[in-house]
Amino acid sequence: MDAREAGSLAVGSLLVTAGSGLAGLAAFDDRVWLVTLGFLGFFVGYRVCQFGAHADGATAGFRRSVRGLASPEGLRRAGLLGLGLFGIAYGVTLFSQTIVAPGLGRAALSGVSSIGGYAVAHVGMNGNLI
Amino acid sequence: MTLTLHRSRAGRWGGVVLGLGVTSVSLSSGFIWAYQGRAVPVFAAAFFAWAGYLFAHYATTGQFVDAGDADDSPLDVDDPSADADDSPVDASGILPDSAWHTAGIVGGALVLIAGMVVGVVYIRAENHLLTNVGGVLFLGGYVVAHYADTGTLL
Repeated sequence: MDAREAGSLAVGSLLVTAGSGLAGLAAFDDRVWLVTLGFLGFFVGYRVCQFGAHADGATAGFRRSVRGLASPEGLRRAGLLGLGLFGIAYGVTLFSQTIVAPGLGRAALSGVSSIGGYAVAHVGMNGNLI
Repeated sequence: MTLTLHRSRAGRWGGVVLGLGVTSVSLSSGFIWAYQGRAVPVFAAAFFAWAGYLFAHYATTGQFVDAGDADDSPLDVDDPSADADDSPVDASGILPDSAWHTAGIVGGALVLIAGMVVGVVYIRAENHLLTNVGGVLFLGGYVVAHYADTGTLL
């Protein structure tokens, strides 16, 4: 692992940690938009980690992402990613609220929303389900 | 990086079990601390949950994260179906191409959901040890579904 890869892993991991910590805390406060922001931080952090692992270098990885985004297909994928992110955030918030006040319907909806959101977001990110 | 866990079967499995074990322990306690509203331990748990995943991913693939290369590039539209080349999915790169793979994905998702249900019970009871039953089911279900969809554990 070279310095660039280690750097991108460190910065990305910081974003992942901050995002997922925020999402976890906000979910129990029933603040779904803050949870969505947390998961956005997680996804951006994951992507930053990927830049360093890119075979052509971090800059090339970043450029590929921007080029991919600036196209109709890229925008469609970004839309799916955003929709999926909200689905995950809504599902995780419902999951946390189910812990606070158990309810079968809410538990079922939380599972469907978080797993469905994950699959939609993953199609947006990588073009496959899982 | 000199770790060579991914070169042997025992290393791969050992690394995945150890790494995801750390993730399960961190996620389980992290959720309980979030339930209690304790911010600092939650962020510490989030870090160790991620670190465990990175270690497990390295053990099974030789890389901490999947590289954003041409065959696996998020939001990269140059070749969106390239993932289908060596994984058990159809030409669209999205849906599985056989009943067995579909069963693996659905079965894995059901185990994962069972883990969430178990998690609700023990997080609510603030039981750090038994919440890991939910954590292991959740992560195990994910690994099964991921293997059925892509042919790799993580």
